Amino acid sequence: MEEFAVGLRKVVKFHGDTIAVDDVSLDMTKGEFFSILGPSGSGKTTTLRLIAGLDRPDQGEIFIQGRSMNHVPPHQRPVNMVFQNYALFPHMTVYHNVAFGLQMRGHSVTEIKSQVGETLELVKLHEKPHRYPTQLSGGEQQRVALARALVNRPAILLLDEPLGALDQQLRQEMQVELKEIQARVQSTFVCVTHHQEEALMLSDRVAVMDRGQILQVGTPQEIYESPVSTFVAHFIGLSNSVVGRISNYDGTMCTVMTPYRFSIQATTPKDHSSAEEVTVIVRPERVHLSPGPKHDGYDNSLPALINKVSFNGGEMFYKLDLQDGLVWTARVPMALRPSHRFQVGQHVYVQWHADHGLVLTH
Amino acid sequence: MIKPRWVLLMASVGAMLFLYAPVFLLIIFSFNASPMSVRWEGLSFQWYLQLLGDHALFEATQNSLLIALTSTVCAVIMGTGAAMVLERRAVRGVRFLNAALVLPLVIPEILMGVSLLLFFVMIQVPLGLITVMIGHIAFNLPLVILVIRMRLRKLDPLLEEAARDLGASAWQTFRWVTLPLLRPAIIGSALMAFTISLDDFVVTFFTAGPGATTLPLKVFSMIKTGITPEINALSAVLVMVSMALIGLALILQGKPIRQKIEGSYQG
Amino acid sequence: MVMFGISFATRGIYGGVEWIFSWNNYIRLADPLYGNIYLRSFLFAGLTTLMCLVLGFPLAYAIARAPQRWQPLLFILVLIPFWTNFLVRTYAWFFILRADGLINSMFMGMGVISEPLEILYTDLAVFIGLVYGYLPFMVVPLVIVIERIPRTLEEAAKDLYATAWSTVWRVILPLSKPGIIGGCVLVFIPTLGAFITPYLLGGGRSMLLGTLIQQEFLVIRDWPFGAAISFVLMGMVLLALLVTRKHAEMVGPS
Repeated sequence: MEEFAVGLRKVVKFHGDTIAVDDVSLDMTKGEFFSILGPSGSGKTTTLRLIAGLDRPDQGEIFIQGRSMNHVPPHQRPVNMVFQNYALFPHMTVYHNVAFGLQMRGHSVTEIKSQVGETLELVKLHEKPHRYPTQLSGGEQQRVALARALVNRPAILLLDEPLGALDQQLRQEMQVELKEIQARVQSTFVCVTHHQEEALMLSDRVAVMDRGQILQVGTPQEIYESPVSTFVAHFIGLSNSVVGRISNYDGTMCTVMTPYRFSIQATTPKDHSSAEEVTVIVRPERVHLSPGPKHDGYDNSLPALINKVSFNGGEMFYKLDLQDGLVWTARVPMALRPSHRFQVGQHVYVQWHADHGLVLTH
Repeated sequence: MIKPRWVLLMASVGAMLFLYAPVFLLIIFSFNASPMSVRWEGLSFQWYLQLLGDHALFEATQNSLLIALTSTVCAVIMGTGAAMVLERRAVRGVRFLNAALVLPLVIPEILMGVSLLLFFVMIQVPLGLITVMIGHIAFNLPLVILVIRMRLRKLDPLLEEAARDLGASAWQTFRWVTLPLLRPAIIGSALMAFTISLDDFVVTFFTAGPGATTLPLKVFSMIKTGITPEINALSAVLVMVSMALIGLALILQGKPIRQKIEGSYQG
Repeated sequence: MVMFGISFATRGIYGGVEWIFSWNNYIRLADPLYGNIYLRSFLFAGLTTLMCLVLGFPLAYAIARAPQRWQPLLFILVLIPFWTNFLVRTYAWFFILRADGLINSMFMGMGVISEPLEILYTDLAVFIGLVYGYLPFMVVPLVIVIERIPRTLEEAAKDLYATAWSTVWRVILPLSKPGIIGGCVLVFIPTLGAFITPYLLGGGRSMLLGTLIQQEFLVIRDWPFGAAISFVLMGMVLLALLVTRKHAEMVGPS
């Protein structure tokens, strides 16, 4: 059997009467960047704390490098954590924050000095070892937190919303850097975040979590391309959906009757019985907008009204009113030809290929 | 119509004057050469010199300092421990303990004094220096616990968890993370306890036996027997010592004193 | 461990009484002679609290709204009396109020009066002493609370045509209610059991609960009865605490 870096077996954790982690089993492979993605209160931070040993599971077992951790206190686990909001010791300098773990384990002064220096260089903070945390910017504090954990050379590095307190630009820079650092140190990184873009970008594999349960585990592509449920689809930013019933299924192509005045063509690999209730999801960047009803080879074409237009530099975002409160979004690359731009109040046709509609049963 | 700003200013200045004028007058007149009257008869240090020669006063000062020091040290050590236990462990009957800890802070001092007196008599401890010390610990302890608990509550528990995560044992975590972070609260509460103990009259009055005369007790008996310029001088010295202590406290820790007071009020 | 001692001792009052004397002491408490003293104590404490509020509020407001540079200094100035010996501060008034004290010599020197006013050893002296002694206890919580009221609220009130007075009356005063209640508790309760001030400034004549208790214990040496009175005082204190806690949410600042 392959030895996993971290293994959770049917782990359950209660917070008072509410269940925070509900029968979770997960495996994290050595050296991978694994993210747990979920909305706040989904139990993802609790899962991380269970791995760190800061909380004890009520049921189930946690393995780290094949060893059961249920009776191992946090300071004896080969695990270190980058805390949400960093939890830097305010009464210590950058140097002493980073040296703390080594000092507690009784390493020699010279060894501490060289390792702290090395790690500070890794996070590009070697010029400010004598500052106090309050004298650092948010990004720098984040790096200290990272260095403080990494200097101990943990087999597994746990990160709790590592970029949550940073602004958008810094967040993007740090994403790249985090990825580089992971490549350098080659530890297993387990990251908890509610930010789907961050999870998809950073991770080798992602687990989507909600209400204490793991909904789906897979590579970012798998999660994005084929979410297992509408919750997962919505959570990773796929907002266009419509419910309906299967009316015709020939093995690959199905027709979905919606409660609105239209039906949808979609391909689906799964077997569907007739009249089965499904949700069809169409990714915003797969939606094509056309000024007229002509199909151009698209399998679906629905009339809509442009409700709102916004622009983020490279792409146009159109908010579309389809029918009876059904609102979709289209993400269209900035068109060069003015004829392909639309204004608020304009009537358009929303078009997409059958194989770009995802048919989900729950 | 009178300008509100002026009313406000006058009222504030008035209140400040009311707070400070008596003590300042006292200090000024302690340098008065005249022995009895308030008529100014020239600058003199004779009353201060007289104080220096007073042996009983010297002894009372010694007692006061001894009591203040012991009770402060005991209260701070016990208080830190108690605060840690109360804040960081699940203690049964916390609500009752909290009430029991707040009560001594709010009841009039005389009740504290009388209770302690009865307590000592009931368990048949002869009144003396020891009983005064225990009495002072009794009123300082809740204060220290309160201040340190406030600080502990404001400390991010993640800091202690971070230390544990980084390989520190429970004791190492306390020694290297919790304790240093508590230091301002510990110093602040110690200074408060020390000055309160030094100045306490009521509790001391009820718990002191023969041979345990403290400075405030001495002042009290001097005032009772009659007004002498010596008392003026002694009072002035006490006021100035208090001010010096406050100055020291402020220099030692900048502004935190202020937060401490705020903290102790939020309880 | 010592805190158990405290609660034990506090209960000790009750226990001690019950053992030796049964209910006789509590029957004696109903004597109108003592009733008068409770009433006086209540009155003194109430008036002192009111006076502290009247004097303290403007001061607290001024400090809370003082320029940032001056504020810490002003706040410390109010705090200093906390750390100054209470006996000494009371004695200072002794010095001012007595027959040949500062006030009398000043007025006589100016020819306003020919006979020295008798202020020391009167209720007035006790009242002045109490207000003086406990004023900081009122100001400190008020400053803390007022300071937290955003200045923008006052600006908003002024923008909505409120005069300076009505801004204070309608905005600041209601919002500083927690501070007012806190300050009142901090003044009322200790003055209820005040001992030094009535003893020194009131002479033997101004009998209040605090001086009564002291007398029973240390002069008459009727300990059980003294304990009974202490217990009554304790009850009054707890009652006052309960009332303020209950009314903290309902009663307006007036």
